[in-house]
Amino acid sequence: MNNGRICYRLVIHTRDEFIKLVSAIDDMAEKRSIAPSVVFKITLALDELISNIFDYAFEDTQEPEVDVVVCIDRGVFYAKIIDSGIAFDISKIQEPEFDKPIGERKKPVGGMGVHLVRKLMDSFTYYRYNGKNYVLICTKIDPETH
Amino acid sequence: MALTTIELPNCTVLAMSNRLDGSHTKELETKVEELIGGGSSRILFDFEELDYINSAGLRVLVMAYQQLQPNGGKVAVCCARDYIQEVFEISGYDQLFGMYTTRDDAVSDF
Repeated sequence: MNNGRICYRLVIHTRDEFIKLVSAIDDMAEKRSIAPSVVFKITLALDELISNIFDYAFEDTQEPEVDVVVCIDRGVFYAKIIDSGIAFDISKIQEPEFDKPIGERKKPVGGMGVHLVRKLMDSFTYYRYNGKNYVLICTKIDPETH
Repeated sequence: MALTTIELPNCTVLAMSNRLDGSHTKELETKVEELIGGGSSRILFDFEELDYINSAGLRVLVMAYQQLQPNGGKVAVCCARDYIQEVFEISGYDQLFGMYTTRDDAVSDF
């Protein structure tokens, strides 16, 4: 496996532009021979986080903008997602009510996207700095899974 | 995403390919509502050719389950890739739907 660092930075203005990030991830995966299952979990985590931003962060914003940096370095994938929308700690979203049957949950599918991020990534961190939301995720890419 | 509907004697198969995300989720939701509105009560989602699904896509399956299950209907999934199967397990939705490795197994169990 080539262990050299590879990074992409993209600025996304609409939810539909997420496809540009998908292309960047696919390109990184091809250059580092990453297994489809790993590409899937990375893409899914980014999809859930960025979808959430476009759903909730930009109610008062005329020009939504999400700045995304994705990197693979020495067998680790990490991403930094920055938006200037409403302050919101996504890492604190409640877990789905797994103890209740689906019909009795207040939100049958609420919190599932963030639950997937927690399970698929090794770390998931939020902080607010200079009026912007920062989300960091990272996961080890096990060479055994290639 | 390409969406194909196959009417079988005992269920309706919805086969989809490529990616189930973004605008495709709405397309699937519309199709499922159309099927349920038209009287379909047993729906099999065939993921043989599906490479990607997110929580919005899963939500459509849950919506179908919530409408059909109380009235004796059924929702099942077949042929999911291993990593998509894992998402069903992480979400707990594998406990809601019948999960099958082949379409034949799923159809014969309806």
